[in-house]
Amino acid sequence: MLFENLRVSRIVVHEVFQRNVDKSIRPPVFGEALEELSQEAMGAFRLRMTDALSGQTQSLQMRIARFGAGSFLELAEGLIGTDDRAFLAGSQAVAVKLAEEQRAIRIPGGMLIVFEGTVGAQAVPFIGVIKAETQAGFRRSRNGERAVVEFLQNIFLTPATRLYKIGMMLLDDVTQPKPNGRRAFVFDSNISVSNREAAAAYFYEGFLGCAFPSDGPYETAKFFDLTKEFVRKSELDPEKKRDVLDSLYVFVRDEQEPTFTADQFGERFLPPNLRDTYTDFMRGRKFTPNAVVRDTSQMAGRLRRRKLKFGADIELSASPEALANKVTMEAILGEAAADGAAPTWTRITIREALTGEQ
Amino acid sequence: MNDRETELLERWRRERSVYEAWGGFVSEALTAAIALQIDPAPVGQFFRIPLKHRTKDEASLLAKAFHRGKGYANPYEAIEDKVGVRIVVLFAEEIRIVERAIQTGIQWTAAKARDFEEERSRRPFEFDYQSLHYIVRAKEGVQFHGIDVFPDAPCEIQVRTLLQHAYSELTHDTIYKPSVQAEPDVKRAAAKSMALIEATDDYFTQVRERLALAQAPGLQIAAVVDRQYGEFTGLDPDVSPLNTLLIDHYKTWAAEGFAAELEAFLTEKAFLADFIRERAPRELLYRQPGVLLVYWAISRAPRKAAAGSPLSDAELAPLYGDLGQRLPEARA
Repeated sequence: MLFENLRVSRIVVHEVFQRNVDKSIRPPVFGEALEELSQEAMGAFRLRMTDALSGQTQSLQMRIARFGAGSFLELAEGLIGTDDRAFLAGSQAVAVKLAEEQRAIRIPGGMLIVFEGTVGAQAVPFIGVIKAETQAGFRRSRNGERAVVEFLQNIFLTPATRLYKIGMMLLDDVTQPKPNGRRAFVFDSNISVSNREAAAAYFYEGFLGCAFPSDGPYETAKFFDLTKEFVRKSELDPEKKRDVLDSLYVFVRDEQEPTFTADQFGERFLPPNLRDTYTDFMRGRKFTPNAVVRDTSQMAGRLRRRKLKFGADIELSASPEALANKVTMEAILGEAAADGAAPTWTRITIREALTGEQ
Repeated sequence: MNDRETELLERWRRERSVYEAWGGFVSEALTAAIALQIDPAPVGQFFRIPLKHRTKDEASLLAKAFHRGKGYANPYEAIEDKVGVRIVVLFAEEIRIVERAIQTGIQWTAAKARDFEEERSRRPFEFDYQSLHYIVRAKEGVQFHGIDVFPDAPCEIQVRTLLQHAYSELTHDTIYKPSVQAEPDVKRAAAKSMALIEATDDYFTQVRERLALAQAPGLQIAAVVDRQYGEFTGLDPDVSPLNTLLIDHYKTWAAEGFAAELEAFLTEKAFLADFIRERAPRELLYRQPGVLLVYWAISRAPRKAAAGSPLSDAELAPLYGDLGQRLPEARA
C-alpha cells in the first residue's frame, strides 16, 4: 500500500496519561474542538505520516483480530461521516479506550491525535490515530528588543519517529461483514513479533485489536525468490552476483529483526544504480512496499544448500557457510579456440580434501 | 553582324571588366552581410552552391538585345543582368534572410524585380518557375580591386532554393520556345514537377522543425510539460528560470515516448492536480510546468530523482509525500 494522495479532513487532539502508581487510570484530557491547521502545519503533519508509513520496516499491514462491540474498528467506523460534534465525542471514546489499554504503569502518556481523511488514488476513507509522546525542547524568539530562549516542555510530532505510533484503519468497503473490506496499517518503531510483552503490543494489539499477519512465510519466500530472479537477470558481473546472493541468504535467514522490507535489502546490498530498478521490479511483481514478517519456516530446505552451475552439466552444491568460507572462485581466460576467441573458465579452490562421491 | 550589334559588343568589351568587378563586389558584400545574420552558423554551408557572379557572354547578350522581341529602345542600358549573382539556399524561409541582406546593402539601391511569393498569391493555380530577383544598382564611389564601378551599374541577384534551382536547371529557357509552348503535355509535366517541388519544400521545413526538436530534447520536454500542465491543472503556468532548471536536470530521463508516458502517469495520479492547485497560489514551484516532470521522476526512480536535484529537501519532501513516498535519506 502506497500512502499517496493522503488527505486529512478533521483532526482532534486529546491527551492521555501514564497510570497512577496504584494502577488506576488518570482520565484523559479531551480536546474541546477540531483543530484548524494552517496549510504549512498540515503539510508537516502529512509528511510525518508518509515518513513513518512508507517503506519503513516498522510499518506493516496487520490482521484485524478484534472487530466486535467496543473494538477500535467499531469505534473508528462510527466516526466516518458524522457531524463535527459527534466526531469529537466519538474520538473521546477512542482516547478512553487507549487509556484503558495502557495497562502497565511504565507506558508513558502522550497526545492522541484522532483524524479522518482519505488516502490513495481511489481516495479510500480512513480513520487514523497517532499516539505521540511529548518532548522537551528550546525555542528562540524575540521579546521586544531582545532575543530570548524559551524552554518548551510539551512539543510533539517532531521528526523523531521513535516518539510516535500510528494506526490507520482503511475502510474500503464497509458493506462487507467485518473485518472484510477493511485494512489496518500500523507504524511503531518498537514493533516486534516475538515478544508479546514488548513495548508495542498494547498499542497494536490491545488498543487497535490487530495481530501480526500470518502470511510471513509466504511473503518471505516470495521476497527471496523474486530477489534471486532480479539478481540473476541483472547486469552485475558473476562475482558481484554471488556476493549479493550471499547477502540475500544471510538477510533472510540470519537477521534478527522481526520484519523487513524489500527496499531495506536494496539499500544495504545492491549497488546504488540498481536500487530504483529493484524497487520497480518488486513493484511490478506486486511485492508489497510495506514491511513483511520475516519467517523462513517454510523455506528451510531452500536455505540449507546452494547450487552453482557451470556450463550445461557441472554443478557444485554446498551450504551457504561452506561456500562463503571454504570455496573461492575466480574467472580465468581459457585456452583459445580455433577461431582465436578465449572462453571464460572458472578456477575453484576448495579448502577441503575430496572425501567421497555420491 | 550589323552596326548596332557591333556597337553594342564593342561597348561590352570595354566595360565588361567593370561589371565583373561590380559583380565581385556584390558577392563579397552579400556574403559578409549574410554571415552576420546567421552567426554562429557558417555562411559557407548556407550557400548550397558556391556563390559566384557571372557576366553575360557576348552571344546571349546580343540575342537578348535584338532577337527576343523585347523591343528595347536602348538595349545596352535596358539589359539589367549583364552581370548576375545567383544564391541557392536549402529552405524557402532562408530566402528572406538573403533578401534582408540585399535590402540593407548601403552601397547600392535595391529594387525587387520578381517575387515568387507574390506571384503565387496572384496566380494561385499556376506552378511555374519560382525565384526572387533583385536588381541592385551601384551608388557613387564603389570600388573593387582598384576598379571604379559606374554609378547606377545594375547587377541582377537571383535567390532560390535548391529545389527551385533544380527546376530551373531542368527547364532552362527551352520551356519558353514556341515549339515547346505548343505542347500542353510538356507544360503540364513541368507544372507538375514545380507543384511537387513546392510541396517538398513544405515537407523539408517540417523535417527541419522535427530535427530541431529532436536535437533539443529540453525544448521538446518543455513543450510537453507545458501543454500537460495547462490541461492537467487548468492553471496558467508562471514560467520562471526555476522551470528551466527543472527541465534541464530531468530532461535526460525522458526517452522516446515520454509524452505518452507522462500522460499515462498523470491519468493514474489525477489527484496530483489538486495538490498543485492548492499550493500554486503560494509557491512558485507549483506554478512551473516542470513540477510535473519532478513528480514523474520521483515515481519512476525515487532515489535517482533526489540525487543532484535542483530542489532542496524541504521542497522535495512534500512532492514525495504526495506520492506516498519518503524522501530518500542518503542524497548524492
